[in-house]
Amino acid sequence: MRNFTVLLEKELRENLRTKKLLVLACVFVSFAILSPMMARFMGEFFEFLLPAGEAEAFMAIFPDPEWHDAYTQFYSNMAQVGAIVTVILFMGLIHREKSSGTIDLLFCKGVTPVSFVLSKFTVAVSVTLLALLAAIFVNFGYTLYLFEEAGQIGYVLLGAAAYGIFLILVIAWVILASTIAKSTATAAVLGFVGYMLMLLLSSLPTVGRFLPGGLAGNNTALSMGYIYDDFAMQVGVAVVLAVLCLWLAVWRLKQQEW
Amino acid sequence: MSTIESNNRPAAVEARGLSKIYKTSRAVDDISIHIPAGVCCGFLGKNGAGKTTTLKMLVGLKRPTAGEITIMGEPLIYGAPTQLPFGYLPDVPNYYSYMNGAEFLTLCAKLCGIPANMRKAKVTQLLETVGLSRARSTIAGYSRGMKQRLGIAQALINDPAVVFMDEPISALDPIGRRDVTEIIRTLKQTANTTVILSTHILADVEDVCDYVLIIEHGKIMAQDYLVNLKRKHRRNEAVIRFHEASMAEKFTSIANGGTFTLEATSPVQFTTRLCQSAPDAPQTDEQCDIASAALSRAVNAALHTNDLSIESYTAHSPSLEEIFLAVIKKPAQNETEVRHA
Repeated sequence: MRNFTVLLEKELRENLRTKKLLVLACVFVSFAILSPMMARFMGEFFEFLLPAGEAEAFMAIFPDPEWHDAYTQFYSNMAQVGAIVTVILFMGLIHREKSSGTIDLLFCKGVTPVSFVLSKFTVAVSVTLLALLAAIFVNFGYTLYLFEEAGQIGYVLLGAAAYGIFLILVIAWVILASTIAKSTATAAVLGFVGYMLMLLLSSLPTVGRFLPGGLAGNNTALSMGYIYDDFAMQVGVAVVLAVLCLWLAVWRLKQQEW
Repeated sequence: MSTIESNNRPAAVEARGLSKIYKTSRAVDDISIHIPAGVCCGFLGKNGAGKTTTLKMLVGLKRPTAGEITIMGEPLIYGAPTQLPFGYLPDVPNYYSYMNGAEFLTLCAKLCGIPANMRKAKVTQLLETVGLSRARSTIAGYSRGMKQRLGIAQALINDPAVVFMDEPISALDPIGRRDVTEIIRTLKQTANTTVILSTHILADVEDVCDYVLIIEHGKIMAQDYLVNLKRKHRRNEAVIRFHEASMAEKFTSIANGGTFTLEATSPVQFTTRLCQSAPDAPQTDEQCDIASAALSRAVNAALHTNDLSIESYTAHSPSLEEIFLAVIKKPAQNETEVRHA
């Protein structure tokens, strides 16, 4: 773990200067604002757009919006765009340093692959979780304002924590992809394929319910206080897979030459 | 007459049986290197000869297929966390473009474990040394020359005993080239740092280096002090320049075909060599000295006997280019010119 704290500082500066934290926070917080709004005003929106008869028929199909719809909308947006933005922002983390040669200068000064990978992972996770936390508080506050109810903050945070753990796994996977890949494009493809697989595999019968994709699909239930049976197992599998990804990234980095 | 330099100084960089074999090629083929401490060593070779691969093995960025490396007596083990006393400037240095020069050097200083109370002074001093103290922009706005100078500064941040520089001057404009060679010269003179300078610009090596290592097809073809290589590769000939063409004509009529041969290069200038010596044959230092003295004596006698005076008499000294071309033409192996005094 030689030089770990120095690298942490460098990574943090990089994330601030290259505005990764700002981009993530903007994307996540915009969803936090848009989602309660969409949930609350979807009916009015269609009523305004559609002719009178059709609007009434449309409204009859959908029940009146409730506070938890704001969370459903938020996590749906996050799954479609938020996680993809995360993949895009971090897909070049390792590969960029390899291809530009900056890694040569670091490794010549005694930096080890372990501290290199872990510093990148730690800062990427911190930045992402910070943006997620900001978004969750905004979402909670705005939902409370629009619906006059937003659930218990503890459960809302539990729903966010589940999504946060899923994002941690995504980041660990993206770091592995960035270490293996010979180009940024390959890293991006590997990152997206891994992300899609995580979501798809959770739909598999029997095993699917233990897989970490569920951490990105049951957040509204968790926010409402329904803690499902396999939650702990999903968290455990996500942590194990994230550690495995990081271990493989370090191992691969040790095999590579510059 | 130049002094013979001896190689029995302690080695700053030593490699034994060093090889790097890829699936389809031998980039570096069982080489041994001995670079004495305190020299500025020009590491020469054509493109693809194995210079960068060798340098990267010497700084621990490439895993040798075989062989051992020591830097200032300490073994370098690939993959092991190390803080050996060396600096490295890659051929195309790249940096974090969002930082400025001082921030990047501070990062390097922290990585090298320089105490906090010494960092600022060290960074300021290095920026001054490489002429970047006034550069305020981020590295993204640096020119190629400025990046190269920053590369030198980061390589020197830990006051290394050995600095490896891979093509530090090849891509620079004449002013950048002059600045960088000046920095290297100062480094050698003031800090007694061993500099290993990989390049294919022979004029720069001749200008700043006192030790030369020549690699071709992954094999070391020559390694010695430049002065020794020049002795070894000098031809037994001299250039005589007369004040007047008439004197030169008279000298030709009496001297040519006797003890030495003359080859006119202008109406007043000749290249002269002893008839009995084979000019391009490899010779020992002793043979060289004897032959050179004999030529000088023969010319002097001819001039004196005929009452002729000359403007200059210059014994042949091969350029590094001549040495390089002669060395890379010959087969490797036992002919490696390693002088062990």
